[in-house]
Amino acid sequence: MRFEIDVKKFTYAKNDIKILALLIMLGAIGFAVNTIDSGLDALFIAFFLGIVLGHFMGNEERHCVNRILKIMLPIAIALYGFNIYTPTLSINPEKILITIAISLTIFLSVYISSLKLGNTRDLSILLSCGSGICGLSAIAIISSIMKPKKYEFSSAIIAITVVGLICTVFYPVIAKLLFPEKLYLLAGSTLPQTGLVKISSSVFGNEEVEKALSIKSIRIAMIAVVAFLISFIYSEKRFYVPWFIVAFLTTAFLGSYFGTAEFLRIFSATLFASTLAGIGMTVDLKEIYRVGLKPLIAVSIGAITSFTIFILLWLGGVV
Amino acid sequence: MISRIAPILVATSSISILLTYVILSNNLPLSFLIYVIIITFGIGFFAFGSTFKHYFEIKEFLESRNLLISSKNELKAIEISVKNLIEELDKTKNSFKSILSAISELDVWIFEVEGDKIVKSMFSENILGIKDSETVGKKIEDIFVKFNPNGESEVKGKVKIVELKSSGNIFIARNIERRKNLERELALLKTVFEHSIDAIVLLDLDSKIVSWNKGAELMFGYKAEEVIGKPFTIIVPQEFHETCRKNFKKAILEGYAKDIESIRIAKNGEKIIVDQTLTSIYNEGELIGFVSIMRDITKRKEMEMKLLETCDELERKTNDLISLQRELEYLARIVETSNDAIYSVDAEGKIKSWNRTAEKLLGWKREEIIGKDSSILLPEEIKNETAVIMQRIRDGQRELRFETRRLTKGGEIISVDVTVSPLDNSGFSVILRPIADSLEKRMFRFNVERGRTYFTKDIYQAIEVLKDLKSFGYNAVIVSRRFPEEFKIDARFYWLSDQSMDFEGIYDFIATLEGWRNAVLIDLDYMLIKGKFNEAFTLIQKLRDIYYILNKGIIIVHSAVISKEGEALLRAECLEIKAKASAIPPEAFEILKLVYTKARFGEKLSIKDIMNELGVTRNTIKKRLSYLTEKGLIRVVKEGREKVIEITDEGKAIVIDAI
Repeated sequence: MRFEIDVKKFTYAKNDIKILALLIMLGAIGFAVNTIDSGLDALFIAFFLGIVLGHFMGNEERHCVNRILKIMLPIAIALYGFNIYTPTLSINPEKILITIAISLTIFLSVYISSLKLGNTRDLSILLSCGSGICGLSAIAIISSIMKPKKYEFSSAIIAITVVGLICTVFYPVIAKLLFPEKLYLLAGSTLPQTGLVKISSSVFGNEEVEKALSIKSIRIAMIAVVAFLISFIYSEKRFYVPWFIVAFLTTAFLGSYFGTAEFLRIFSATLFASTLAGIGMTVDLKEIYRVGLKPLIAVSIGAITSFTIFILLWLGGVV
Repeated sequence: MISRIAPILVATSSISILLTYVILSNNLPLSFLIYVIIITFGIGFFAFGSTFKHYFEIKEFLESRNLLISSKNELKAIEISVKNLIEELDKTKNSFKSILSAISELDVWIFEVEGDKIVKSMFSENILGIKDSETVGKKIEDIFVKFNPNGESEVKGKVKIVELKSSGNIFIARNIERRKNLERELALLKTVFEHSIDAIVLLDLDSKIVSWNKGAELMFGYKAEEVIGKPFTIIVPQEFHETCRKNFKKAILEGYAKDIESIRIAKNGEKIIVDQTLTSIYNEGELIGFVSIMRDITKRKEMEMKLLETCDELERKTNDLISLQRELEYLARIVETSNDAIYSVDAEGKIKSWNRTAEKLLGWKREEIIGKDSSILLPEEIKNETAVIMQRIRDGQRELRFETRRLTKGGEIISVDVTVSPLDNSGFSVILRPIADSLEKRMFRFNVERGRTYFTKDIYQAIEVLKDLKSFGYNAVIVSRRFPEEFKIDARFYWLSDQSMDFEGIYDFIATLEGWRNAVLIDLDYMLIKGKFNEAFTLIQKLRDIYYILNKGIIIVHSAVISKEGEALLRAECLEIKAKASAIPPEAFEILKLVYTKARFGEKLSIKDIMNELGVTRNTIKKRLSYLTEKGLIRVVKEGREKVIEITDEGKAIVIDAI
């Protein structure tokens, strides 16, 4: 038997390890930033850093990233379930319904306005899911099923992050003027990312944060339904749910009802952020900004619509 | 560029200031300012992309077409690239103009259609014969009879048929009339080629068959697939190969070669005679093959042979006809100069021809008699003769010969021997030969004459006269009470008895005897015994008159018991029979006459010549010659080794006297 070493393969493996290490580092940075300021989403930070570094990378490194992502993305999605909070049973059913109604309103308004503005169907679904459910994590999970174009994925992440941050700045100010005690409901039912809900509602104390997160958990839980629906819509021949979605739902269920070890939560969040960093590295910046203001406008319309609905509900005394 | 970037900067700056103000005025955490940075970055990012979208699209377009030049300054690179592109476009435009200029020379018309109207037109004069400016604005239906956007269309213009090609709403109409005409001609030629009864064979430069039409199949029996690729010599006999090679050489040098009446071989081995024309085929001046056109003339040749045979036959028959015509002319001359009177009568009894002898004999000139009824020539008592002749001809009788009489222009009745022959036109010809009664009379042994009635008291003399006349062809008739055996002569017999002694009946019997040469012996003894002299005398008188008028024959009245008064009366009515002293038998006189006739032309006949002339045996001739020699009428002399007959002066005198 002859023992040969495939130098090329070995080289690639060496590069893969470097890239993987880089990705995990970026994920860790994102997580660390998020830990410092929960408003700065770990996924966004990692994705942003990925885009910046990716700009300086060659094609060979990008190929490495793509190879790594093929393995890393499903695992990260599966493990990200540990970061999902299931709705607290003590929440008022009326609030659950209001939250679901607002989420659906956001979903539909973003989806319709996005299509009207000329965005593609995939981008419209990504924008509407990101806005209506749970921001970047929803986009990442649904993207794994839909397989959208990378610029669509990236522009959706940036647009949702930008609009979410604008809302995060304005909501405490508006709430302080009009309904200080309803900020948790406004943040929880309309803001896309959990971190933004946390930072926005934290203006009125930790109690409001908890309440806002419990509202947010209703929307997070919707990811399971949406993942199923998207799987159903995008299955080519017969109903098929990818294994990592099933695993994601399983880990989410296990984490919610049996508790999740802190390290596992940190690891899964870091791994997911690393994956987003990898996606950021493979994205071409030109393709993203060429999409223009249309995703941003669509998401803004969703945010304005949801806010208007909330105001109307408040005025009507429903909330 | 600045005008585009400035609004972005203003907008993003405004948003940043507004957000910063909100954060600071509401005592929000300072970490929110980081959000402002991210928000500003995000909005600016998308706004930049939206604003410069077209710029990037142009750049990418240039890159994708490899038109973007490499330069550190992207904008400068785009500018130069676009300029280069415009220059290229100008060049293309010029090229396009050149192409259009070239196209204008062709029979095409380019037009653009919007809806059903023509909005642009180029070179419409080529097809429609009107200017482009007149064409624009017209509807498709105003110009096209049949509009097929991608195919053959019919136009109301100087060109009738065009082929349309469309690219979007731009159409190119191409004149295809010439092509269509060529296609029609080609189709016609193909039809001619396929259906020609002549064999048309296309050959390549190696004289191998490349095309073989139906005519060739029918002529030679080979199917096309059997001979395609095979040498032409497959249908040429070995002995004609050299001629064939020469023909090909001639066709190359002179363009064509004719091979008249050449032989070819069919599939079944049958030889066919053909007229062949071998022609060279050229394409753009280069010899590419040959075409052999062969016409089967085998049948024509056979017909020619038959025609030649027919011509020979015709020539032979023509010669026969010429001979016949000469013969006819000769015969006509003979007829005209004949010693016999000849005339012809048509189906209506009118005289159609009349010869000179007839003029002399009957006194009528040709111009007088032609067209007159032939009955004008008949005496009153035989006026129905013509009808009788025609009836006999209709009954199928081919020739009639009889003796009769004819009435001359001067009213004289003459005895003639008549030969009647039917003619094709249902008429008949008549040959009249005057009967020489005087000759006949002179040849009788007794001095009797036709038309006359004689009396004798000697029954034996009467019987001798009767025998003599019968020997000259007379019909012997006896009216007597005596038995026929007593007369020892073959004759018709009217036996008298009380019952049969009807004078009217006897008159009718004798008067209506057929023919004109009747020898009637009337034995009056029984009548006289019965005391019927007056009736008998009256009978004799009537018979004498009718026989005289009609010249029907000779009546011999005999009675041995007649009274003197009665004899005297009868002798007054009748002539006396006298025997001739030097009577020569007619058969001997015939020889004498022949010898005399020949002697007039200086000819001397031998016995053999007389035999041939008269058709009588040598012994008979010798007997008659010895009789004539004894009488001193001829003498036999030797002339060389042959005996010839000479007539004596005495013989000459008898013949002259007789004629």
